[in-house]
Amino acid sequence: MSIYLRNFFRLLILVLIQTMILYKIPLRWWANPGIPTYTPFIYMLFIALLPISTKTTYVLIISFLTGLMMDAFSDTGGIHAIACLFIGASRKTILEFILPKPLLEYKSATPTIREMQLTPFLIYVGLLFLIHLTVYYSIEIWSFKAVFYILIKTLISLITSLAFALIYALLFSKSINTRYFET
Amino acid sequence: MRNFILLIRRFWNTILFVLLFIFGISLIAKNKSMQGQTIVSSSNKVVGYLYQKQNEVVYYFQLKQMNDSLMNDQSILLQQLANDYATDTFHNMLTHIPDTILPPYPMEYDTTIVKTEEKGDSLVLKPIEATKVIVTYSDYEFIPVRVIKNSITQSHINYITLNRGKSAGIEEGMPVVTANGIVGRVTNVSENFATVASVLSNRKIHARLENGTPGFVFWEGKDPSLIRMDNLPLLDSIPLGSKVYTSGYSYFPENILIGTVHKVDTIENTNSQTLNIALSTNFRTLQYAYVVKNRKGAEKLRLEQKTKAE
Repeated sequence: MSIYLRNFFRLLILVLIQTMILYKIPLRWWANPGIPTYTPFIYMLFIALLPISTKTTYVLIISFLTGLMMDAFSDTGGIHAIACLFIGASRKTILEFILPKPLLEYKSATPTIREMQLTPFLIYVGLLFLIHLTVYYSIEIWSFKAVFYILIKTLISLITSLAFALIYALLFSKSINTRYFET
Repeated sequence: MRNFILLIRRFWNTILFVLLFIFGISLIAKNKSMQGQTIVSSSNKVVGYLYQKQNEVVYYFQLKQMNDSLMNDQSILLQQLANDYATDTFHNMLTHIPDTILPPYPMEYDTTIVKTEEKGDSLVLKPIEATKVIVTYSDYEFIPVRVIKNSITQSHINYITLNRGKSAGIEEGMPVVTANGIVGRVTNVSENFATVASVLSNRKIHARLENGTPGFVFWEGKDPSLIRMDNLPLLDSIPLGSKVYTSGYSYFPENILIGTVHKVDTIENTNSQTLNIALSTNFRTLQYAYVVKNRKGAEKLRLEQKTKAE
């Protein structure tokens, strides 16, 4: 499968999981007993899993459009778009910080668990999600009085999102087992 | 000029970031105003279609829950009907309706005036072709809709998507209710879908308590089952469990239940009370609702606009 097609399908799957399943979770009463209502987000994984050497210009445009699509699904105007824009902008810096080689040497490799081991992958995705959720909830709640509330919401959402992202990454990575046989 | 182009090429990513950022901010600003016609909303074709397909799948699994809530609603309606049966109609309550307002409303003629006639030994009741009639008509028309997307997590405005749109006669600004509670107001309509800003938003709704005290109810942005009413005088003693209804000043039809008083807070600084009201609509399990079409709404709006213009 070509790299474009693979990314397109990944976007499709992630958006469907997000809108059809994850958006339903906060509606259940057991999802938030006594804590603020939160939503786990997973669709940002698409931006995180774009090929490593994608140019920043394209990453910015793609992430903005992805965010806009989610805005249409959740009626939030442009909050997702801006939060995704921040991810797109900070992606390169974080990748450079985590990966050992210069980014251009990776060509069309994707930053998966197989490519960069479990802990670096979790740090990478965790940082991106943290940026996204902080921006998202700050704009959405938009008041200085509620800083603590924003923090709580971000934290709960981050933990659940990361759990779902990890499950997704483990389920949909093609050859996670081969790694163990190689080394 | 060459330097300028070089500068742009050098900082192209930053410029792009700033441009997209400004575009996003303008979208958000547009969305924050209630009347804002947004391009990115879930009432558009593709998103609406996806949500509808998903709802068709999930619908089957929720049938049991839905059945229960329908039974509840029906019992409430039956109760109301029973209340109506108990009223007496006296002859002096008969009204004469002028011919001018006859055509647009569905009417029922009750020829309740009867005359006694003597026929031989017995008295016979004989109805008269009456000029005076009791006319029953309704101002409101209820369009049944299904909720295909629901949200309770946003802290300013929560949007709900419905599976009917312009083709079913839904227009912007129409109130949406269930049989025992209020849901929201239509903000965006497309051919087959509509988005509703639910009661779980920062818009205030004019309401009145059981004992007639008026006030505004609003949502705080946290708990999806609680709504608040501010600035009530301390002297008013409000028992827990008393009911709150919509008043005629709100965009909802009058006398629709909002909820029951759950907790009363006394605020000494301002010498006032704050009520926590438990909503009677359960937004977590909301599956169907009714869009209310006011037959006299257009006329009212025209009059109000004319008054405003003068």
